[in-house]
Amino acid sequence: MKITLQGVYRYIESEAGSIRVLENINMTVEQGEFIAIMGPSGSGKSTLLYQIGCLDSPSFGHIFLDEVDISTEPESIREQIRLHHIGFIFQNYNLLPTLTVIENVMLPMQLANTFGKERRARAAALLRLVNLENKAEEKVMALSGGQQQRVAIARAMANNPGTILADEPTGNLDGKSGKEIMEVIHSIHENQKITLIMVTHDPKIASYADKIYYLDDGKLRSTVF
Amino acid sequence: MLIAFQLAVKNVYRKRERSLLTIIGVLLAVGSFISLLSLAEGLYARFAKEISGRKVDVYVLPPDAAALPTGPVGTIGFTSDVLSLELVKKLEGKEQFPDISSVCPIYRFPQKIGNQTILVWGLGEDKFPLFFPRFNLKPGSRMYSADAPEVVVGGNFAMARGINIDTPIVIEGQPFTTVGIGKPGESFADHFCYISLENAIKLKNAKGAQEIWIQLEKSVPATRKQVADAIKTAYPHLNVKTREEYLGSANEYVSYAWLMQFAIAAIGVLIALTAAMNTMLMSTYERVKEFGTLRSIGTSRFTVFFMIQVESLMLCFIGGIGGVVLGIMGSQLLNDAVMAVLQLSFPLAKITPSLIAYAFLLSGFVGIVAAIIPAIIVYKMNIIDALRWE
Repeated sequence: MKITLQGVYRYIESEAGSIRVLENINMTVEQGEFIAIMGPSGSGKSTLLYQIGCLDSPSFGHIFLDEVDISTEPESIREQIRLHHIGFIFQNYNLLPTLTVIENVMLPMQLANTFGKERRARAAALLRLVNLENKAEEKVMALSGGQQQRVAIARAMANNPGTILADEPTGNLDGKSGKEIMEVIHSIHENQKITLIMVTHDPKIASYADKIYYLDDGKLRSTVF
Repeated sequence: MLIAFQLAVKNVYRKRERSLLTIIGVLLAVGSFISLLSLAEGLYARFAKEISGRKVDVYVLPPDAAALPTGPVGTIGFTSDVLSLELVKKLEGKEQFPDISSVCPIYRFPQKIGNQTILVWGLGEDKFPLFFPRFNLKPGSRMYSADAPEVVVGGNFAMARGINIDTPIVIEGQPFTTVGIGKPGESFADHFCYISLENAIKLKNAKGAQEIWIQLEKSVPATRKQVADAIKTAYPHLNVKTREEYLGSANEYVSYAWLMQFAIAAIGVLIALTAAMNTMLMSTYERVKEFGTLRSIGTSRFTVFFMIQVESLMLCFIGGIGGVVLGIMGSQLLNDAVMAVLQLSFPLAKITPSLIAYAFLLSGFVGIVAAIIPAIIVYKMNIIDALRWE
């Protein structure tokens, strides 16, 4: 999935007035590309990721997923885009604690009305991919942070999305677990040619990407290939 | 939508103690609702059955008398006015009212027998089978005589007091011999005693009848109305009612009781509603991040709205089912208490299918209303704010 941002601005209203979070962002992410967005805290990295992920809309400008301008689509369409075309990986894993590992992975498929047997088979295959096939029936809260993030990766891939967006995927993990997670993410990208956009402040983590963008005070400052 | 059900079930199970307390709150509200309203429902059902079970087309009452099929109870429906027996003769006269086939003057008075107060009815022994066609005497029984101190006892009352043929019963200080016992049944008539009109008037030193019941040649609503209007025209000071008007008037009295009981029950329902609303609100605020996650992976706003509604409805319906069971038991206890306090010889409370339907509607109402605010909060929630919620 090709992603194009054209003159994206994002302002947030606060008690102090209107705050500019993103300013004139122009970028293109080609199908199958792995990019990292780096920058200091408060630079607008996550906000940019949420604009691309249809969780928020730009104040001005356009965001295209292939040919579709998602910035003007109604919420009902954006829900469908999130469900079928985008997978999210969050820093805090954001799994549902009442569900088991496999139920968490099956959840997006269930929302997309995937047939029961197919759903279970695909979830099992995804858990094999992240080396958690033996934990399928366990409650997610019983897993370590690294394992939970692997469940989140499997969930993000559940509906075969064209794009995966990762917001500080190793931010809550120790160095060893973080490295393991990045290897899983990297191998998925290599094998499945999914477009991958990752926000991180860690240069080591960012080095897995094909291209790194630096964001500072809401502006795209530089690009490293 | 199935996913909304599955997640709702898991969330109800997640905080079991809190869910249980909410269920208990609804259970108590529904239970008290059913128990209290079963009294009025019982009266509605019994009045309708009683009036339709009698073969009376037109009722003639004194000006201020209330239409109550049980006769005066306490001060309700009591009037010192009576209808003269001359009037009975005039109504029976075919010249003035050719459509009337039979006239039955009635005199009723409460009488304490043992630890119960029952109604003693005075009416002509020849009229009894005509106007109470469903009252069947047991084998070996006979109807009382007009001038002898004889009594016929309703089957349920006889059974409760262990009364047999020849058992003496003291009425107004006079000994009466039981000559007839009815078969037990569900009618009010099965809970009363019957003596001749002459005896009733003599015992109470009355100057006439309290009510006059009339049967027509042709028992259809149009004729009833016609005859009632003719009697009203001839005797404008009297209170004349067709069978339909009599039932409507009796139901009006019950509706006051129904409203009063509903008002009391509504307090319990409001408390349960507040408790359920509090539970749903707390439970929603605890899970804001989860709702944000659900929305971020493509769950629609409607699905999360529906999920909260389902969760609340589940809690309230479980409470509703328990409440119906509790209500049935409570209704029996309340009935026994009311019978003991008012010294009634007949049961009042009745659990009707419509009452159970109301109870489930009430549970559903509590469920929907309790979840409406949390569901709207989640529906309108900004996904990013929800994901960052701590």
